Amino acid sequence: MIDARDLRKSFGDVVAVEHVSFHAPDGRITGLLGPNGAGKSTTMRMLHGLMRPDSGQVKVDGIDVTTDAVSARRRIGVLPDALGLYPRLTAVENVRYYADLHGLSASEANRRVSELVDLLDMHGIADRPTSGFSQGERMKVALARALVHSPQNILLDEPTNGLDVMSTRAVRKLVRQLREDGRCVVFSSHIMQEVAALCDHIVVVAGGRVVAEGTAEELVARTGAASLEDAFVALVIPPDAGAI
Amino acid sequence: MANRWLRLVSTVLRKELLDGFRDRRALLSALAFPLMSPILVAFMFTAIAQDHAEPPVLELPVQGAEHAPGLVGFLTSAGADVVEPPEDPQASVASGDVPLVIVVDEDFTDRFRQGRPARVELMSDSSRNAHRTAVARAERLLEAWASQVAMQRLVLRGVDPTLLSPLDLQEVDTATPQQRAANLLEMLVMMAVMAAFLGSMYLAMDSTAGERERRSLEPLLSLPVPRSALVAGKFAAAVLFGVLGVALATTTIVVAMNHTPLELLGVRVVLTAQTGLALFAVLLPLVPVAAAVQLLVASGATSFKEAQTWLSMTLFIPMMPGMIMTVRPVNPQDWMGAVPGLAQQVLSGKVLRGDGLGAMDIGLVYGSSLLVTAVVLVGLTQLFHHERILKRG
Repeated sequence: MIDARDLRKSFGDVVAVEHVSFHAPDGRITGLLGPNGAGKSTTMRMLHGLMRPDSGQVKVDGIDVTTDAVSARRRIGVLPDALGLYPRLTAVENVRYYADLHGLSASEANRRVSELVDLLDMHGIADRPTSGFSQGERMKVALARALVHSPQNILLDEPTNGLDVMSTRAVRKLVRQLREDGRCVVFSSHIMQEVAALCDHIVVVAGGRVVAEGTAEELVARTGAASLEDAFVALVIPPDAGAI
Repeated sequence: MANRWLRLVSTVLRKELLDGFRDRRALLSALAFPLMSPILVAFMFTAIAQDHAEPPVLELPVQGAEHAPGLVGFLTSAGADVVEPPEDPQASVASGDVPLVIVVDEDFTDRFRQGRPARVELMSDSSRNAHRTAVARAERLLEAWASQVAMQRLVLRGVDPTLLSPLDLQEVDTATPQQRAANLLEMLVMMAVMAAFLGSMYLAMDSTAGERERRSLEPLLSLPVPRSALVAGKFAAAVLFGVLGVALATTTIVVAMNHTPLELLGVRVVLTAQTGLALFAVLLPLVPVAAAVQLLVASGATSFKEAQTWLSMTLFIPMMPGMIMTVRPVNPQDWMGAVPGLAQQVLSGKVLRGDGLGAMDIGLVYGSSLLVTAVVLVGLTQLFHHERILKRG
């Protein structure tokens, strides 16, 4: 369960995020939907304390991230927008490194790693150095890395970016599985179809602010648009910006 | 708590070492230089030594020997081998076929009999270093003959020949052969110092600027791991690579120098295992300083390329004292032992000269190095706490 309250973050004179609040409960997939540069990644980074909000508060399972980031992070698995693997380590070594850094015992780490190799169907690539991996293979390793400590809360920043259809489906299936397991999933994307297909609750972010939230149907109903795409455009483009 | 921290540090350390040993560039930077450079220097010394090993007999081509039988007799009795001159003396000297040619003037006999200066030309090419010794030897022989003749003439005229020598100049060189060798070996010291820097450089760069460039830094920092443990693990890995480089460099220096005929250079150096250990002990404290500074510089750079640029510049820092001392030798002062880099230059010189190290020397170099390392590491940990660490160029 993640609670973000009135988050604000600026870089120099540029306000990246302002008045962002939402609630992401367990057993639900919460989507952060917004165009590029809307402040999604900055918000995601504040959720696990990688960036410190200028004001506002984030609580993960009741733990304040700004005051006790290390405890909060034990309960979070993060898939950042960049996958960043170690190219000279094998897939399993990459995942194992994170298991060790999470403080898992050797037997526990081995069990989790082989579980994830099964779950993500990584048998063919498990012992290969990651340097030559395709985007889909890299995604699998990064997901396994993010999930290795069985976190209650999972942050996925644009997880389907650059994936082919098969890989995208695999990711969707995994995310739904996590919801069935009662986890709290926060999923950010700029692709409406992605969010509409997956998320139970959508938070639309534009210009660093939350402009609307609800289910896909609610958003469509509220804007009186014909489709979610029209609803999205209506929400994201300020009325005085002129027609596109 | 402390246990958990140490376990995290060792996890980071093991990963960075595994990564480093699989990285050909890191290994090359850590190992190639300390392995190759002393061997290269040994080759250079051997070449110089062989040049200095003179043939037992000095060959003197003399043109017009028939005009000066007395001189030729003197040269022969002094141990020189007077031989036929080449056809074209000037050309032969210029082309380096012979080191020198002595040309006796046709008027030599007449002028000598009259007691007037008789002309002898000593032809040589002063730009050829290899022939310098032979020319100097020939010069000394000619001067010896001249002063012998002068004395005989004075005695014949009833004058005490010692009147011609108002000064009795004796050169006393206090440099022992070992000290002279040590000057020569300053170059080796500089290489060992470089090895300390190069050993950790690539790993330090790859585990910070490289980690950011590969974008693996962000997920790493998102883990419930204290930043101090990440810094400590990366530091430890860089230090181990540096120690490896220094150990290798000192070993190669001792082995290579023991296979170099330094005694032919008139230099007697005993580079025993003990000297090697003392050298290692002097260089060791430089390793953590280098590793910490490199990590800080590379973490502060916005890209791998920028880190590379800055770090190759920092390579000049340890070389500077050595270069300055070669051009303008300064007597080592006590305070120099407290400046990492400079201390290594001064103390290694001491070790190689066979002077031995005092407790004060050791205390100063280790104390100052630990202090500098600690300060830099605190700064580095703070940088890792800052959001700026994620910023890429």
